[in-house]
Amino acid sequence: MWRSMPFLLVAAGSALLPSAAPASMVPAAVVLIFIIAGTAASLQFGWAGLPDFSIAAWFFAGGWGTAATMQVLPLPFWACVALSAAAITIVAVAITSPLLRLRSETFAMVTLAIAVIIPAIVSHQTFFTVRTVTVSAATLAETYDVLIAIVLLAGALAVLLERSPLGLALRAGEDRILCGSIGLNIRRSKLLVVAMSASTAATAGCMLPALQVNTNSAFAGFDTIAAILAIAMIAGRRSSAAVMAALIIAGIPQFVPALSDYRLLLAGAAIFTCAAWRVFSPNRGGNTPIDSLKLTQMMEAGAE
Amino acid sequence: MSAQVLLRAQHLRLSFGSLTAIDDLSFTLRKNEITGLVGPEGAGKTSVMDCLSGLRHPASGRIELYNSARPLLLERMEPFRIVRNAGVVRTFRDPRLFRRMTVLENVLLAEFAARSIIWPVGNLVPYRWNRKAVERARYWLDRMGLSHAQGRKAGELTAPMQRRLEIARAAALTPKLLCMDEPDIGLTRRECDQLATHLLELRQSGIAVLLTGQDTRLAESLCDHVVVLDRGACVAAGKPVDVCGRPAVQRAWLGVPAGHDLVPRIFVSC
Repeated sequence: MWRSMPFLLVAAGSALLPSAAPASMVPAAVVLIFIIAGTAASLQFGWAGLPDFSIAAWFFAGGWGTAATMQVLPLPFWACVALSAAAITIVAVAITSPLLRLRSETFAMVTLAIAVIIPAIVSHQTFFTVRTVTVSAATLAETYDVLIAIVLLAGALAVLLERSPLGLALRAGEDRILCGSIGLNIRRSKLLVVAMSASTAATAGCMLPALQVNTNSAFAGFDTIAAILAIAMIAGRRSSAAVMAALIIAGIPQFVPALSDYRLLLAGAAIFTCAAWRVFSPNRGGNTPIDSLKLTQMMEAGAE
Repeated sequence: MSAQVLLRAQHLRLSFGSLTAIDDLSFTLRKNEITGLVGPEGAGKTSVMDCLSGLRHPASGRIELYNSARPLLLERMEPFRIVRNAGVVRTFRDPRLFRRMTVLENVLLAEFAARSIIWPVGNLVPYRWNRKAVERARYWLDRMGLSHAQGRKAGELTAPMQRRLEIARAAALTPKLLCMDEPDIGLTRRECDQLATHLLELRQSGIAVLLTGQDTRLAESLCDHVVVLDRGACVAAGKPVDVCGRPAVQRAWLGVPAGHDLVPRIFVSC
């Protein structure tokens, strides 16, 4: 239950914020979007072991797709959001699926290229120009509420994964030979996580037009990729840590603009500290030396 | 009357560079039988296991499994399909477990994999809520005498317990054929006897077993049929009592040239 607490606290805080400080709704919504994207990235990085940078691209494509759909089709905002999120999820799964055969470092490089190339192509193409979308104040408020709901949903997903068959399969994925020998198709399990996190990130990105955030390639630039990477690195499998990291990394530039230039420095320091902690931490899971209690238990078991 | 054929391997060949691991090997496994694949170190036993479980693909030859209307060809199948579609499960020479998971989780994962319930999104529900799966996993742990250790990490178990856990996990996959690579290695005589009891129980529940070994003791006491390998080729096959006395088998084991006394090769070379 405590694992879901950060998500619940953020949702409760965000629900109260508009009445306390109405002007802070848009910055708070951007932070919520980073929490969602960071949780999605931590699902992939922490659970499936996939350093997937392309989340930034799906995030950007979600925003652009919603704006483009609204311009082309006479549909209400929420229908455009649903269409755009579904289309981007399908594209994300189709592109990522063959990449799952790659080694993780190659996978990271290819997805980094996707994260840079897709926003650049979409922004620089001249066939179709997306105009700024105008949505009503009511839609903006609805968007904020939906973002809170998605944060709760992402939290529920992350918490459920801990004790689910899928979570077990992903934890087992480190040993591919053993997975194969028990009939586990680990690539399929990883693809399911990719679909879940891509759809979560794309849905979060689809809300961007309603927040009047420019859906240009700069938004999905190096800053955003680095921020999402830092959140995923800090969090690992701990989704609650993703919330804390997103609050700091995305919240500082939104609420303290003077410090926004230091965001990358902060992200870099966080990644370094996290990596150092993993290397030098005395309690490193499977590599922990056997303590005397465990040794006694083993001897007792042997005596049986 | 001979039992029904379950698996037929024909003219298998496998090489690692200039080293021939399996040389034109053919053998047959029957349902409800324990078959021993025996031979000295380097005879190619583990390579045969790897081919049966899909970890290696033979350079030539066929492996046919007769469990459905049409025989399944295993020699080009992926490992996870061999487990799911053909029901051929293997264990490893050194017990291979998910060491950071608990004993119960190790068996539960096999339960979920066997029933293909990892893919649907509905199975994001906590696994402990799936009472049937937990009961089935506990059943196999109980049969292998591990129910008292179900909450412990697999990496903390002793070697014989790890071996039993590996068998419980394999049995939870409800295999048609269980391939065990040198299951007696590192076990005492008493533990070997316990292992033999477990394997006989598995045979009684309709699982065919293929086990490899360097020691003929387990094969003689347990196997219905024995295939003796030497340098990747079959030198003898039949019932253990008929096979173990043959000169070709003694040559394979002890390195005795034809017409010489039974002196191990190591002393001859000295």
